[in-house]
Amino acid sequence: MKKNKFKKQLISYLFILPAFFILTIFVFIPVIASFFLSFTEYDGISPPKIVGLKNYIDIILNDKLFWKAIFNTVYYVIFTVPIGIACSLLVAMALYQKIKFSTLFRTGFFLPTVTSVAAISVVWRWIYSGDRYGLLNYILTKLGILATLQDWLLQPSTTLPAIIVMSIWGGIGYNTIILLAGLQSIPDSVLDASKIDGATPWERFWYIILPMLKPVMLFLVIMSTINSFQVFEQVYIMASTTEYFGGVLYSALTIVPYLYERAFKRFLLGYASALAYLLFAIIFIITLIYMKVSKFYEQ
Amino acid sequence: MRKLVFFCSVLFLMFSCAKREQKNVLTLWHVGSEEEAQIIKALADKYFTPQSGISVVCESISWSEAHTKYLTTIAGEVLPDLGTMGLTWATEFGYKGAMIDMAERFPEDVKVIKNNTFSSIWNSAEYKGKVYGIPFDLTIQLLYYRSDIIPNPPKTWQQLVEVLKELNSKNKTMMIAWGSLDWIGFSPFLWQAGGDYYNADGTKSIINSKQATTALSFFADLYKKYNVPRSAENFGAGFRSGEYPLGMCGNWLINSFPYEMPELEGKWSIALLPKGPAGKNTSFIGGRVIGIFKGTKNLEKAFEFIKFLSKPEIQKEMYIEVAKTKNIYLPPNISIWKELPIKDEFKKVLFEQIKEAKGPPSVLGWDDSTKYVVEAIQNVIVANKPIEEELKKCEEKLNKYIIVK
Repeated sequence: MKKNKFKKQLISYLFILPAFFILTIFVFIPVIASFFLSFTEYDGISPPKIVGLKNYIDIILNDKLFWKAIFNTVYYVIFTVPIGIACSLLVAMALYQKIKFSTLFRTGFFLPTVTSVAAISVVWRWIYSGDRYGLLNYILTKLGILATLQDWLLQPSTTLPAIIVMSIWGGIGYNTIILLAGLQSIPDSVLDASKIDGATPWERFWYIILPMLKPVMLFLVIMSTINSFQVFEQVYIMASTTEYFGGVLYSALTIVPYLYERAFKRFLLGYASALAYLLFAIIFIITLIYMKVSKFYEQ
Repeated sequence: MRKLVFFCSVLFLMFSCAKREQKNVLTLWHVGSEEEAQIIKALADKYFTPQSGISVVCESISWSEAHTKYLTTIAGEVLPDLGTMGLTWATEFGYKGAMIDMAERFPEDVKVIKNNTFSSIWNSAEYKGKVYGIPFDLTIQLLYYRSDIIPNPPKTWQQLVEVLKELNSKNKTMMIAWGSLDWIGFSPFLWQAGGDYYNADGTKSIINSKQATTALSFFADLYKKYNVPRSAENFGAGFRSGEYPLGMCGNWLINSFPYEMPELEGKWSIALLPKGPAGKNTSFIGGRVIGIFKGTKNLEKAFEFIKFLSKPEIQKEMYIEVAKTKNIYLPPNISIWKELPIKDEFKKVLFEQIKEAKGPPSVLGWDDSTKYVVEAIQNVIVANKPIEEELKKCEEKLNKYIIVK
């Protein structure tokens, strides 16, 4: 009997093995290795030299670019996550009404999600292009809104906002589909009951739909926060050249591109590992706070 | 149990496909397009393999990831025999112990190649007598102009200002299409003003100088006073429409413009960069070098192949083949220039400009320092910071990052 059970399990383990094997090589080992590397100085060629907490201390106390990157990242997250989810909710509510061609709209809004961020960034780079040939400049000057042409991606004040707008646009599709699924799981009976009780559409939204969407919203907030903290392609493609990284005067340098620059342009692998663990700590703490806050509201 | 044995043997097989040692094959990584890699391979197949018995495998890697890829493979010790790379990389990798110093191993041959190579490019490839990379091609910053709009291209900074004023009055301007807002665009102006990044022996930065101040203020004026756009994306379109009838850009447009805008035939040309206060019209020269990685089992053969690629007739054929792909390959070999099938008016300008050019400084630590030069340039142009202060900060940083070996 016991032997039989083991045999059964053995086969299950065999099925897990390939995936586990790949994960071990490409995820678990690097995660552990980079933790140890974060306490060393390592250029990828000469053997790592243990330096204790030096990398962490240097980053926190002496690295102005790190703080610039943190500031930019937080700026990016603060605008992208709430505005992104609010816009998605708006779209989801609109599609939830039984309007004509709703499948068409749903597909349309979802399209950016299936397009690679790299491709989107290349197209938007042209939209934001600096002279008359940039689409945004062209439209705004034709409409008379803009008097002088703007270098959207080459002036510090507009680089990051431009990237934020693009990211919000790119994220709406995914968020909308998740929210739509959430909306459809709200039982009709609850909504019908509230109608009979005389609730206005606004009250229905505020007191019934929104509270019932909470688990979905929490999921979206956490996922978009994590994703936004890790923003990379947009910055890499739209705001970097071979000679400078993260926009003019680092105006769009966020934390992951900075980490990439340290690790794979300068080959400061120990330093970059420490950056990665700091980023992990930040995301971990923020996720914990979200969980606590949402639990608090549940009680 | 039998299944387990089978599974394990499959795994074992998967991992035992070790690299076979191939004695008569040279592997070359080429930074650039796949088309170019094919051309090199075809040339090798045609002339090199029959005579030497060595076949050449040529793989292209893209510019954007090449530096990273080389560093990772140096770390992992899975290098090819040969590689083409950015002008300053060979020295960098050489000092990491990854490349063969050809001046030491093949002094006579290297001397022959050196004597026949433009000194402007050679100076950037050689570092204190060590030669880790031999020039493979050249890229040079030139002045492109629409001769129907600007009959006389500016020859000096003053003339440039006059031309720009006139263009501005017609809502036109110039574009710095290679190196806008960064050190590549700025360097020619620095040298034309008589300044430089480092002193002659590369031990100290001299960027905080009167000449550099003049250069940076002139460079900044181009953007701030004369409406030169910061972006460099639409030079082709603007050149065609006449909005940017003047532009500084690399030589790669020479062979692509005729395809992109055939209607402009005869209405555009190239010129030497304008002379600065120091009376020089120095341009920026870049390019690729080719080097041999340590750990190759075919050192002699690999160098044979480099010698083969340096032959005038091979470089000429390469020029012709690359031109068919609408691109341009400029040989670093002086003796072949007379025979190159380039339009005479272009050839004259190219040849003169290549002689009066400088490459990135051959100083260890330069690659880590460029970002401070870029910071200074952008602070002055974008954030309106005072020039002297920025150059002073820049000099301190440059001094800090010089590596003396």
